[in-house]
Amino acid sequence: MKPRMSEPVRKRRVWIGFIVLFVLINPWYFASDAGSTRLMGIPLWALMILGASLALSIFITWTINTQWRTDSDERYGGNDHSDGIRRDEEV
Amino acid sequence: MEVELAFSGWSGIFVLVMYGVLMLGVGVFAFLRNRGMRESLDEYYLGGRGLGVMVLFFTFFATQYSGNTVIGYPPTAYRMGYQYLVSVPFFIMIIMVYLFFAPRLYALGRRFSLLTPVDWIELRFRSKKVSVLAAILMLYGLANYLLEQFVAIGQGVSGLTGGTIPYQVGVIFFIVIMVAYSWLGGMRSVAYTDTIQGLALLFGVFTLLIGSLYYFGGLPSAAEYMQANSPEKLNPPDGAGLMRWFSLLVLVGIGAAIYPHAVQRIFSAKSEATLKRSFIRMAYMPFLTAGVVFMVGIIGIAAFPGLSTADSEQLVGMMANALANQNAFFYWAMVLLFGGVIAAIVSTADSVLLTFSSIISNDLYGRYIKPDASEYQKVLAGKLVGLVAVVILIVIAWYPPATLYQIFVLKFEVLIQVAPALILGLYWTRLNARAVFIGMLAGAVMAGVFTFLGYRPLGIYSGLWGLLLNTAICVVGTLMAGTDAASREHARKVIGFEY
Repeated sequence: MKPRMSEPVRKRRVWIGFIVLFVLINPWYFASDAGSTRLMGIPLWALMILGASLALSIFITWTINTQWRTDSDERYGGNDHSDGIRRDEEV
Repeated sequence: MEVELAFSGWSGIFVLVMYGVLMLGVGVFAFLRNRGMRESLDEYYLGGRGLGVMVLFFTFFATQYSGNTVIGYPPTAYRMGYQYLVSVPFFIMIIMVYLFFAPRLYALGRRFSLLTPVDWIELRFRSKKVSVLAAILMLYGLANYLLEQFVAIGQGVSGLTGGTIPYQVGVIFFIVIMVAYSWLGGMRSVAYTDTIQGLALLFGVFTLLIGSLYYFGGLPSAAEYMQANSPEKLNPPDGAGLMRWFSLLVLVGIGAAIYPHAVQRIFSAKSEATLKRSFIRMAYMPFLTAGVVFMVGIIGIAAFPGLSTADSEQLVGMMANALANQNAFFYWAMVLLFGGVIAAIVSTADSVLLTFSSIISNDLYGRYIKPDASEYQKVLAGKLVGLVAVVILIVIAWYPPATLYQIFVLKFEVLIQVAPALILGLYWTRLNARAVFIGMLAGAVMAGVFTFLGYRPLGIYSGLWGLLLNTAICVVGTLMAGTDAASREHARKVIGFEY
C-alpha cells in the first residue's frame, strides 16, 4: 500500500513561489544610488528587501501548513514512541 | 573576535558561575528523569525522538544562531552598512531549503529509525566508501565548528570578566561544564539547556537594541552620518557586492540546512506537527535576531565613528560598556547579555559535540569497527572519542590560529559537499553510488584547495564551486554509467516507501 505523501518539493506552485521570492530578496533591481531615498532613516531599498524577506517567511508558513503532509506518524509511530530498533531489515 | 567588557569583572564571574551551576543542574535533572538513556542510542542521541515544539524550536534556534551572530555580525554591519542586510534573508533561506528535503527525511527517519545523516546515506547507497567519506567530511566540518566555538568561548569569557578569568581557564571551565551535562543527559539535556540559552540570548540582544536606540540615537541619525561620510553604506550592492549577496544566500541556505547537527534534530521531533510548528517559528526568527543585531551594528556607525577593521571587532563590547555606565539596570542587563553570548556559543558547541559523538558511535564504531557491540558500548565509544577530540581541539584552541574566518568558511565549504548524496538521494532512484563518491571527493578537494589559495572566481565562494563540480559529477556520472537493477530496486523500495 502506497503511503499518502504531500511534499512541497513536488508542487509546481511552491517552486514558482520560491523562485519569485528568491529573485526579489536579491537587490539587483535597484539603482546604484537608491540609498538616498529613505523612510525613518532606513533606505527604501532595504525596506523592500525586508518586505520580500517577510513575504518569503509567510510563503514558507503557507507551504508548511498546506503542502506538507505525510502519514509517517500514523504508520510508524509519532509522539514519544520509539523502540530504537531499525526497521530496514526487510528492505 | 576579542570581546572587551572590562566593567564587569567579578560580577561577570558571578553570572558565569551561576550559569555553569544552572546548566549542570539541567544535566542532572535530565539524567535523573531518564536513567536508562545511556543504554540506547535513540534515547541518548535523539532524546527518545520525543522533543516537543518549544524545546525543538529552541534547540534548532541555538544550533543555527551562535555567539558569532551577536558578536561578529554587528561589526560586519558597521563596516559594510546596509549591504550586510543579507544576514536576514540568508537565515530564512535555511528554512526554505529544509522544505525541499525535511518532509521526506522525517518520514524516512520514522520508517527506518534513522539516527544520523550518515545513517540515511548508508541506508540509501549501501556503500562503505560513500558512508565513510561522508562521515569523515562531517566529522572534519564539525571539529572545525567546535574549534571555532571553543576559541569564541575563551575570548568571550576573558572579555566579559575584563581578563579576570584568563582565556585558557574560560575555555576549560565551559568545556568541562558542557561535556558534563551532555554526558549526563544526552540530547535531552542539550535541548533543555538550549532552551534556557536561547531565552538568555534573546533577552540580551533586545536589551542591547533598546539601549542603543535610546542612548546612541536611532537609525535616522546613523543614516545622516553615513550620507555625509560614507554614502556607499546606504546604497544597495552592485557588481561584486551583488554576487557576494547571491553566494551568501545560496551557501548559507544550503550549508546551514544540511548541518549534520541540524539534520539530526529532524529525527528528534516528537511528531510531524511538532517539526512543522518549529520550522514556522524559525522562519520569523531572522527578523528578531539577525535583524536586531544588524540594527545594532548600523547604530554603531554613528555612535563610534571611524573605527579601523580591528577596532570595529570590539563594537558590541564598546556599546555594552557605554550602556552599562548609564544605570544599574543596563549594567546588569549587559552582564546578562554577555552571559547570553557565552550561552549561545556553548549551546552551539554542545549540539555539535553530540552529533560528532553520534557519528562515531553509530556510523563508524557501531557499523564498521564493532558491529556486535551493545548500545551501551556504542554510546560509550562515541562519548570517549568525542572527549579525545575535545582534548585535541583544546590544545589547538590554547593558542588559537589567527584566521578564525578561514576556519569558519572551510567548515561550510566541506559540509556542503554532502548535500547531493543527502538530498538528490532522496528523490532520484538512479543515482549511482560511485558517482556520488567521486563527486563528493572532488567537490571537497576543490573547495579546500580554493579556500586555502584564497581563490574565488567570479566572487562566488569556493564551496559553491565544489558543490557545482560535485553535483555535475553525480548527475553526468549517473547518466553515463547507469545503475544496476538491484540498486535501483533497493532505492525504489526505500524512497518509494514500498513495503
